[in-house]
Order: sequence, then C-alpha cells, then structure tokens
Amino acid sequence: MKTIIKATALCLLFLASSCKDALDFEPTNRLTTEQTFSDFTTIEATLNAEYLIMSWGNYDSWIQLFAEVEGNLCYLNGANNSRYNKAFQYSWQPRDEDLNNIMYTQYFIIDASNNIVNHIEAVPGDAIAKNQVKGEALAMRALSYFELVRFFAKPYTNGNPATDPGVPIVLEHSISEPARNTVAEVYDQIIADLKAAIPLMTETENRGRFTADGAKALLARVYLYKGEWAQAETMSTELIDSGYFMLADSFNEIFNWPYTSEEIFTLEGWGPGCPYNPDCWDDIRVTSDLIEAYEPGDVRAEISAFPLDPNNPNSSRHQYKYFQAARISILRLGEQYLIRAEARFRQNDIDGALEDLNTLRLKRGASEWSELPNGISDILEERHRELAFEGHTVFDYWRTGTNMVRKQCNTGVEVQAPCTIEANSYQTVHPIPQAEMNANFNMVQNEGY
Amino acid sequence: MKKLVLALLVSVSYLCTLHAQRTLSGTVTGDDGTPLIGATIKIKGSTAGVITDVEGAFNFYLPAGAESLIVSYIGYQTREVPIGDQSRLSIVLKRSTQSLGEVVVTGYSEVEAKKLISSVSVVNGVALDNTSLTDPNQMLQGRAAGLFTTATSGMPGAEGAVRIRGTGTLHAGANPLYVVDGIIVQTGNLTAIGEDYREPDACCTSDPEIMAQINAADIDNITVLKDASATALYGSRGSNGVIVISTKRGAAGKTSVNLNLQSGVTMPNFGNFELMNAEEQWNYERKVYEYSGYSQAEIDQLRPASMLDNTTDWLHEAFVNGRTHQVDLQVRGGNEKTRFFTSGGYFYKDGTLIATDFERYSLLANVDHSISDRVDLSLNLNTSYTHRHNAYTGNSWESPMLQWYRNTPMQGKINPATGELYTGTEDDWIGQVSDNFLYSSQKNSFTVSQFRLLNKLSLRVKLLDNLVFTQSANMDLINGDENKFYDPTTGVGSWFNGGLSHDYNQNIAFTNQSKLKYYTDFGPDHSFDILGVFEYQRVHWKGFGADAWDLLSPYTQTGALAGSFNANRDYKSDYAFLSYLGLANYAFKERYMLTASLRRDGSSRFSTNDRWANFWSLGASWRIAEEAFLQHTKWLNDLRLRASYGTSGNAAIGNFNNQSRYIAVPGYQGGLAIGLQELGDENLTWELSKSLNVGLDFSILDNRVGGTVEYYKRRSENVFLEGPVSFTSGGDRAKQNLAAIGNSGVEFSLNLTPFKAKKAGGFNWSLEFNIAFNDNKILQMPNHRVDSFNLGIYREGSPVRVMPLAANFIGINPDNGEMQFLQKDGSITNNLMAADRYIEFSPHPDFIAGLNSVFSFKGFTLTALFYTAQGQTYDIGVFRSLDSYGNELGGVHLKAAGDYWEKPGDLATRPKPKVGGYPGVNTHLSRSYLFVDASFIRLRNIQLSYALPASMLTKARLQKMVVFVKGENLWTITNYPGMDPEGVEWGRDNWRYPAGKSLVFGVNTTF
Repeated sequence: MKTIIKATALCLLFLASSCKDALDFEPTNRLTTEQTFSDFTTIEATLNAEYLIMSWGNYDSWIQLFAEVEGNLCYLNGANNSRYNKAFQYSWQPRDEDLNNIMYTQYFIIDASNNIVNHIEAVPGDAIAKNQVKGEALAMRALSYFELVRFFAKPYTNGNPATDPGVPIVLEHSISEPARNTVAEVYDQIIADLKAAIPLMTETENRGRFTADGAKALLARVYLYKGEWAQAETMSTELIDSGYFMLADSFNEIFNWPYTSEEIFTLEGWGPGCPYNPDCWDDIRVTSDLIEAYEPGDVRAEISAFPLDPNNPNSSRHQYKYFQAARISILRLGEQYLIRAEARFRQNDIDGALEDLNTLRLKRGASEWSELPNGISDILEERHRELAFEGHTVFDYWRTGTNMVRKQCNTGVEVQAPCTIEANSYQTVHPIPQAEMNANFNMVQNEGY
Repeated sequence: MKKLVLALLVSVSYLCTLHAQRTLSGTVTGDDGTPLIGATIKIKGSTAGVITDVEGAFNFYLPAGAESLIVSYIGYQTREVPIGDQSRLSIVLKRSTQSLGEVVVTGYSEVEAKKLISSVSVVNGVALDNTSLTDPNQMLQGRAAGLFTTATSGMPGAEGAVRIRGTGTLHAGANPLYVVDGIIVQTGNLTAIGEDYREPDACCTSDPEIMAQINAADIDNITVLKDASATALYGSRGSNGVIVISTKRGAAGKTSVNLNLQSGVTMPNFGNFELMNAEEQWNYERKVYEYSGYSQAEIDQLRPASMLDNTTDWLHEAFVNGRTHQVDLQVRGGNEKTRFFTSGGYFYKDGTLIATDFERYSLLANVDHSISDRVDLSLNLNTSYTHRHNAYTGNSWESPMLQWYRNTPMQGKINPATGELYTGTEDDWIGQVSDNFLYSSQKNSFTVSQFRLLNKLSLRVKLLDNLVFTQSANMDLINGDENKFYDPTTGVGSWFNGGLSHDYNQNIAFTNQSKLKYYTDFGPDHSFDILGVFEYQRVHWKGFGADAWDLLSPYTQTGALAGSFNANRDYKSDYAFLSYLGLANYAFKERYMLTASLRRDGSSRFSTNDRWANFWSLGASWRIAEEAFLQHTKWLNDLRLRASYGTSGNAAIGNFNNQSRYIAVPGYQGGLAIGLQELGDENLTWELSKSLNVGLDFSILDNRVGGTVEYYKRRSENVFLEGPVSFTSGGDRAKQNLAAIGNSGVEFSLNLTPFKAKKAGGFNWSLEFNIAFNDNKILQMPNHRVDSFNLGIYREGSPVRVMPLAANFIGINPDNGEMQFLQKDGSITNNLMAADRYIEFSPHPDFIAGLNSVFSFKGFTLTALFYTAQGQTYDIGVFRSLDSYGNELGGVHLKAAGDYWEKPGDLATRPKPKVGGYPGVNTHLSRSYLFVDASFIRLRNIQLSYALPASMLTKARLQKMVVFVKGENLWTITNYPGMDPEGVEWGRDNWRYPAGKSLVFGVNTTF
C-alpha cells in the first residue's frame, strides 16, 4: 500500500517537473520573426524579398502603370478588357482590389525594412556588410513611403503639406491601427531615411540594388517633389558630376541587358509589359499626345511610340520599355538631368536649365533648344519624351498644379474617359482602400470618396 | 490475505449490529438469465455490502432494521429490492436503456442521471444497434436535441460538420470536441489535421472524416455535453460542446458471441429538378440562336439534326446504384477478475457517385482486469483501416459532379467510330469539358487510405476506501495515404501526359491523464466527492508529398517511372495542451445537488504570456419530486430543476497563429528571399464562451411521459476572426480575438409510451421527440465593420455567415419580358448589374427536430426516425449554369428554363434567352431567385426487425436471433429544387455530392 502511494507521488512529481517546456514549440515549416532577424544571412534574404516583391510586377499593383494610364501619353484600347478602366476613367472606388495590392506591397517592404533596421545592429557579422544591408533597407523604406505619399496624398507642392493627411508612418512591426501622418511628416521621414542610408552604403557596382548613389538620386527626386530646388540641384549635380554615370549612347539599351552607364537603380524583374504589348493583352496604346511630341530623329520614339507595323506610321503605336528583358528602370541619369534642369529653372537659372536639357536632347537625337518659350511646360514635355511609361506622368501634372488635357479620350478607338482633369480635383488623389478603412479605425478616407 | 482484511473490515462494521441478525442469500441475474458476477449488493442506508460470486450468488448476515437492498451492476439498471421476511432472493437486473436512473458518462467521470446537473443528451441502445451509417456523427442527428449535423459531401466517410447549439466561432474550428473512452481524440479532416482549422471550402470537397475510422457497432453509448457545467470538464476546448463516446466493454458471465451480417443496396438521390433531354435541349438552343438573330443556315450549322444521333443522360450516368455490406463479430465475456469485449468488423459502402466507395476493417479489444481488490487495469485497443475511392473536389474538371452539367446531352458516350467510350479528347467531342468521366473513372483513380490506432492503458488504484487514483496513457495514431493517378489517355491526364500524386501524413497524439477522486458521506444525508485531474496532450503531425507527370509507360504506377518528378511538400507541426482540473459535487439527501469546477489550461498555440486561461462552472439541481410535499403525488415520478453557469474555451485555430511566419523562395539576383507569409498576432489568446443553462426534467404517469425543457444562452467572446488588418502591419490579414457571438435557444425533449405491454411480448409503442430552436447572432465586429468571405458575410446583428446580400427579383415584366429588380427606393430596374442588393438570407434553420417511434409486438419491432430542419435558405449555385438564360449553351439546362417570356402578355418566370445571357447573370452577383428555402422532413431511418422466439432458438442453441430490414433516407418531403436539401453547411449548393439512400437486410445472431 505504501509502495503504491510512494510510486504515485513519484509519478506526479515527475510529471509536474517535466511539463515546464511542454508548451513551447516553434514552427518547423516557417521561420519566426525572431529566427529570421537574429542572423545576418536571413536578414539579407529579407532584403532580397523586398526587391523581389517590388519586381514581381503584379500588373494591378504598379503605381508606375497607373500613373501612366491616368495620364495622357497612352489610352485604353476600347476593344479590350476593362482591366484598367478605373484608372483611365478616374472612377476609382475604395473597394478596388488594386488599391489593396498597392498599399500591401509598399507596407510589406516598409515592414521588412523596419525589422531589418531594428535588428541588424544586434546580429553578429561584418560591419561593412551590415551597414550596406541597413542602408539599402532604409532606402527601400524611403522609396515605398514616397510611392505611398504621392499615390494616396495631395502633392507637397500643391497643397498644405503641414496639414494634408499623408500615410501612417510605421517604424516598428506591429498589428495596430495607426492614424495618418501629415504629408510633411512623411517627406521628413523619407529624407531622414535617405540621408541616413547614404553614408552606410559602400557597395557601388550593383546597379540592380540601392547604392549610395541610388539613395542620392531618389533624394534628388524627393527634393524636386518637395520644391526644395537648391537641394534637388545639389543632389543631382553629385550624380551628374560623379563620373560614374553617363547618358547611354543607345537609348534602347537602358531597357535591356547588359547594364548601361546611365542606370542608377534598375529592378531586375518583369515589369508591366503585357498590358502594353500588342501580342499580349494589348490594353494600352500610345496617344497622339506623345507621338506628336517627338521630332524626327528623336530615338526615344522608337521605344516609347513604335508603330505596330513599322512600314505604316498610322498603325497603332506601342511602347516597349518593359518587355525586352527582365528590367524595370527606377532611377537613371536622364531623370537627374531633368531634375536639375527643373530645379535650375525654378531658381531662375534658365541657361543652366537649357544646358541640361540640351545635353539630354542631343544625346537622344533631338534638336538643340535656345530658349524655353513655354517655361515649365517645356520641361514637363521633355520629361514626357524622356520618362514616358516610367511612372512620372500624372504626378508631374499634379505636383506642378497643371491641369491635364487628353487628346485621346473620346475619339472612338479608346475607352471613353474624361478629357480634362483639373490638378486640384479630388480625383488626382486615390482613395484609401476599403480594406484598410475596415481594419484601421483611425484611418481617414481621402476627400471625395 | 487481502480477502481476509476485507472480510475483517466487513465483519467489524457488522459488530455493532450483531444482535438480531439473520442470513440472506440469493442470486443476481441479468434479464436474459445470465448470472451477474461481481454485482454489488448494499443495504440501503448503510455502507455495508457484498458482491456476487462466479455463480452470481450472494450470502450475508442482515443487520437489524434492514429494509431493502440496492443492487447494482455496470450496464444494468440499479434496483432497490425490498427484503421483507424473505431469506432467499432471486434478483433480476434489466439492461440499461436511457432512463433517469442511469449512469451518464461525461468523460472524466460517470454521474448518476438523477444527480445530473448539466445539460446532456445520451444516445445508446437501439439507436446504435444495426446501424449502417459510416460514422458516429450521423447517428446523432435527430436523436440529440440541439445537435445539427451536415455532411459537406455524400461521399461515404466524408468530413462532416456537427454544431451543438449553434455556431459560436468564426475562424476557428466549430466542431465539438470528441472524447473516446475518456480521452480527447483527433477529429475532422485528415489532410488538414496538423492544423485543426482551415477555412472550409465553398462547396465540395470530400475530405475524409477521422470519425469514420470508428466502427459504430462498437459503440455502447454517445453522450452529448451541451452546457458549461458539462463541458467545463473540457473547459479549455469545450465551447463548441463535447461528444463523449464510450465503446462496449466486457461483462462477467457466460461468453456471448454476436454475429451481425448486413447487405443491401445504395441509391442516389436525384432531388426535385428535371433536366431537358437531348431533343428538348436541341429545340431550346435553336430557339436561343433564333432569338439572338442567327440565320436559319447558321442555326442549322450550330445545331444540326445529326446532334441527336448520339445522346447521353449524364446525370443518370454519374449517379448510380451500389451495394453495401457489413460483418461484425463481437465476443463479450469474462469473470470476476477479467472482463473483455472484442469485435472485428468489415464495412463496405458504395458511393452513389460513380466509382466512389468506402471500406473499413476494424478491430477492437477492451479488457478490464482486477489485479487485486485495490488495483484495476483497463486496456483499449482500437485499430482500423479504411480505404476509399474518393470523389474529386466537385468543382474540379475531372469530377463527374462538374461534368454531368457541363457536358451537353447531345454528346454521346460511345464513339461510333471505334465503338468504345469517348475519352473526351476526340475532335468530334462537343462537351464543354474535354473529359468523359465514364472513361476516366475506369482509367484514373483517387484513393485515400487511413490507418488508425486508438490505444489506451489505464490503471486504477484504490489508495484508500474512498480515494481512487487513475492513471491513463493514450496514443492516437493516424497514418494517411492519398494517391491520385491520371492516365495519359484520359482528358485531364492528357494535359500533362499522365500524372500522379502521392501524399503521406502521420498524426500522432499522446495523452497522459492522472485523476484523483475522493468521495465521502457525512452521515446519511450528505455525499461529497471531489476530482482532480492533470492532463497533458501532445500532437505531432507530419506530411510529405510528391507529384509526377510525363508518365513513361502505361504501366507507370510511381514517380520512379515518370519523366518529371517533384517532391515539393514536406511539413511538420506540433501542438500541446496542459490542463489542471478540479471538480466537486455535493448532494444533500439526494435532493439538492451542487457542482463546481475550476480548470487551468495552457496551450502551445499562444504566446507565453497569453497561453494560460482559467475556466470555471457552477451548477445546481433540485429534485423537487423528492420533497415531502410531493411524496404522495402518485402520478409524479420525477421532477427536477437544473441550472448552471460557466465558461469554456476554444483554441482550434491551427498552430503558430501567434507568430509571424516567414517563408523562403528563390530570390533576387540569385540570392534567397525570405518574406513574411503569415502575419501572426502575438497577443492571441483563447476564445471564451460564457453560458447559462436552465432545465426542467419531469417524468409522470408511471414514467410513461417524460421530458426535458431547456433554455440556454451562450456568449462567445474573443472570437477568432481572420479579418483584414491594417496594411501597415506588413500583411493583410491575421487571426485575432476580435468578435463576439451569441447563441440562445430552447430545447424540448419528450418521451412518451402511449402503449405499454402488460406482459412480455405485448404491444408496446414508445415515442421520442425533440425540437430545438437556436438564435445565432454576431454581437460584435471590430469597429462594427462587415467582413465578406468566400462563404458568406459577417455582420453585426446578423447570424454567422449569412449570404451575400441579394438583389430583389420580383419577376418578369409581362409587357416587355425584362427581368425586374425592386430597388431600395421602391423603383424597379431591369439591370442586374445596377440592382440594389439588400436582401439577406440565412443558411441557419429556425428549428431542427427529430421524432423516433418504436412499435414492438411479439418479436417484431418497427422503428422510424424522422428528422427535420426548417427555415434555412440555400444558394442554389449550380442553377447559374443550368438556368443561365442562354449564357451557357454547352452544358445541360433545366427543363424549367423553357418557361420564358416570348411575347407581350406572357406570364413567364424567365426572360427570353439569348446567346451570352444577360449582364450579370453569368456572374456570382446574388439575386433572390437563386436563394431558395431548403426546409425538409426526412425519414432518416426506418427499420423492421423480428426476434425469433426463444423456443426456436433453444433448439438451434442460440441466445438471440434478429432479422431486420432497414432503409435510410428513403423518403424526403421538401420544396427544395436541388438534389438534396440536407447538409450544405454554409448554404452554398454547388457541385455537390448529395447524400444517398440505402436499403439493407441483416441478421443479428447471438450464440
């Protein structure tokens, strides 16, 4: 009897003591946050995931694509699927899935960067390599905030940035319901991230990732969007004068393998080629606005407005920037010349502006200019010729407060759409996705939606 | 030695009553005459007693004043026997059937039914005998009040859904917890079991149900635990209710051998709709072309008369009659020291869908052995193997459930050029799906086999006379093997030049359970017991799978002979629960009963700070009938009021949802990429249900009328919702504790014996009726938001998973033939795309009810079980294709599709059909005419049996022989236009495998 009691007591004691870790398991088919961000190799791989998700190019999550469809350089082929009608017709609704994809992709990158930035100091590894990764993560975070703020908020230079709602700034991983920061706060964050990133990065050779030069190039663009002309000029000058970057001899090669000296940051991935491709979806075609903007000899027309039938200039025109190779141009020297030209023009340095414009134009086979009779409009039009379909078009209109007029909106070949969009219309800012409104009680919808 | 000690103890207790004593002897037998060995005989009002010997005999000294004996034996009704002046007694005990005097198994313990405080339903006895249902879930429907079962598929052995008192969760498992012989077992779907919850499929999977591994013939009784007081024992995981299954055990006495043989036919259920035949379809489609402006020449080319040369009724080719067989051999016996029950079973059932079947081999051995007076050992060995020719997911190309309506009746099944079956890949094949299931079901195979070992060893030690320690160890091992083969000559197989896939998985659960029970009486009026339980359960799951295609030869059976092979699935997962439980019962004069429980549970599924939770319950019952003021009310046999309140939890959300999880993929610039795949909320914790239950039990008129009325109210909080989260989290959705759900309802059960035989063999009629009303409502959504999911919508104030809001169709305008939809503002639109959607339909029944009637006369017994669910609405999705107003001309049409508007004044139900249909009609935009009432009354089970008279049996040396014939689902009353109104859990009736009918003949013999 006593033996039984003793044995039982012993069993119970054993059971109680062996249960301490009985409830601790780690997932075996996945890495946890803790596991992922405690090792340099896996942290590096999360940075790769940022580039990867940015380059996957879901055709419905490309801010670059929508910035063009909403513009006047291309029109939607009326005979085709209604995939991009909401952008072309300015009929965005908060429930449109594409908005979810855009916001999801950018915050996915921001969240990964947050985790990298907040964990990398603590992991063992080579300090230089760690700094490079941290710098890239900061620059990627800046790029994502920049995409978000120009897509979902009023432009800095055509609004009240100190009070206009921007997007929530989140610098640490959490499931929460953050409210929107102001446009000015978001720009401050972007600039702070880029300034922090530049000294950290030492890698210079890899044009497929962010480098210190890439961060500078983005910073130049950000200053331009912010209207800080002197800063924009300084930044772009650093790149133009670096000696490392040169305008490409052949415009076509910028969008193809191998890398050219012009490229500052090019994503290695398949961009939104199919909707532009006459052999694929053939949704989007080039408008007469752009076709007529090119003078004979301008080589940029060959890639941005090439006729379907090369022997028939009246056949439909298509752009080929995205589908010659797995290349998506994000930052390149051509844009830096345009940034500096605009910054100089704004600071009344017309000669300086002309010098930059002519450097670019001559390289592209266009004629030399001696004056800018239409002022800023001439620079914007040059931006269209140079940067068409790279995701700048509508933002250039809105940030400069310019109303957009379309020649091809109602002629019968295209999907019917508004022919004029005023720069101050609520439609120039996209609605916050309904999914975010549902999940985040502190989120405020943009005006008009 | 020990016997001596016991004898001494017994003697000592008698010492004080030695004066005026006398001897009493006798025998205890069962109602079938077998002596009961080890039956307990106690003198009422004292603790003194003896047990019967191997002949069932007893002999002892009676103390003075002893008036009656309490005689009890497990599995038999306890009897009080007056002693009077007799010195010899022959006591006969009746086998237990459900009555207020019985013992109810609640998993951790057994409770006398009269002392029961909580809300339970017990199914046993006749209900479980001779069943030919594939799994225990199906036996409960219509028998237990408040329990609603649906099968997502009519595939025998397919996963089912069981809801007790409504659905109390959103994105977690809503099925009850299953306990077999005291141990929580793995349930649900095999392939997903590592993650015990996944968002259910819209329609049509036929995933295997683990409970189908248990042979119904081996089950002694099933107890359904419904309220907090009952489920508190499983508090942590009991918020969906608990189903406690007890398998049969041995009994001391003559060894009995039972042989049960059954054989029968299965038949499909074609439901309430009619399809056009080939000729009607040909005429209809020519009209459609005509209305769409096609010229006569074009129509002749599109629908030439030659199309009627070779036709097929695909529906009746897809669903066919089949067979079912069952053999069970059960041996039961034992003596005072050792008792055993063994059972070997074979079960086979054809599915009603072509080329589907289910087969089960099962072996059960339950052995109980008394090592000494104080130490008992129990061993349960339950082994089964099932093998199925499974049905493909109903919306997959290869599934006959898709092909029967996607392929036109104008397509023949035999290719006249070869005289063989079409494969579907021929140039002249005009079916929409390039596959002929009649051919591919011969060539392809989809098999799922499962092996299950459910073993338990338990040791019961009587530490003191009133202190018992029980230690159990349990292993539940499930091995699964899923195998798909596509022959390269079949339509689907030709896409990848033949292919196959293999998936293996193993799920193993270990459970340790230690129980300590103390019971005592303070004087004659007070009884008290307290139970402490420590339990640890750990589950490990792993799976591995591979695909192969480009099969090198027609003889290829494995990936070794395939041009392409990819082993791309490899998974492992673990979870564990650790629980401490205390339970106390107190009874005063067997009139006032109190129960209280407290448990503390930890789950590996939650982070360290959130994983522990406490659950508690309180209950009380009052046996009013025992009160002095009712003692003389002869017509009242029992009256009891019960009430309980308590909390329980739910953690069936799959593993690791409390952590963000990252996956690795081939990455950027040749490097690896690791990215967030599933966002986890680290503050995730238990779902918590608070429930109140009030019940009244009564039994009157010599127990001929009895019943129960119960009211319950359950509020589930912290309900898991896998809803959208702010994108700023880096993800788009996560499981969080966000919602609250309420269920409340009333249940009535009534037992009637309108005719009671005066003597054995007379006419008996008994009726059991139950009805349950449940009101289900989402009480709270985060930020009052509305979430839409594939299977429905979550909206505050609406029931869980109502269907998408529908446009209000009000008929066809007789003047112009246009569809009319009533707008919110009272105007009418003819454009479905622009119609306001505001009508809400609920897939939940208003009430469910069951009626079981048993007539018996001489050896004949007729039982009939009716089951009904009323008020639920289903979305009959398949009609989008069958009745598409001309949009889908490639498939088959409803005969009713011919009722369309042609000219002004026509009163029609459909607009004039045209090629391409009408805007929105081909989409999944909801409109009210696709939502139909699915109320039904079904004769679930009818059985006529005849027990051969004893005179015949003795000659043949048999104890018992029963011949029977029974039918399942033979008769259904419903207005539902689809195939089967039963079993669409989320109300989406698409590509379904409807439940079939069966007619079975059997002989049950006991030697």
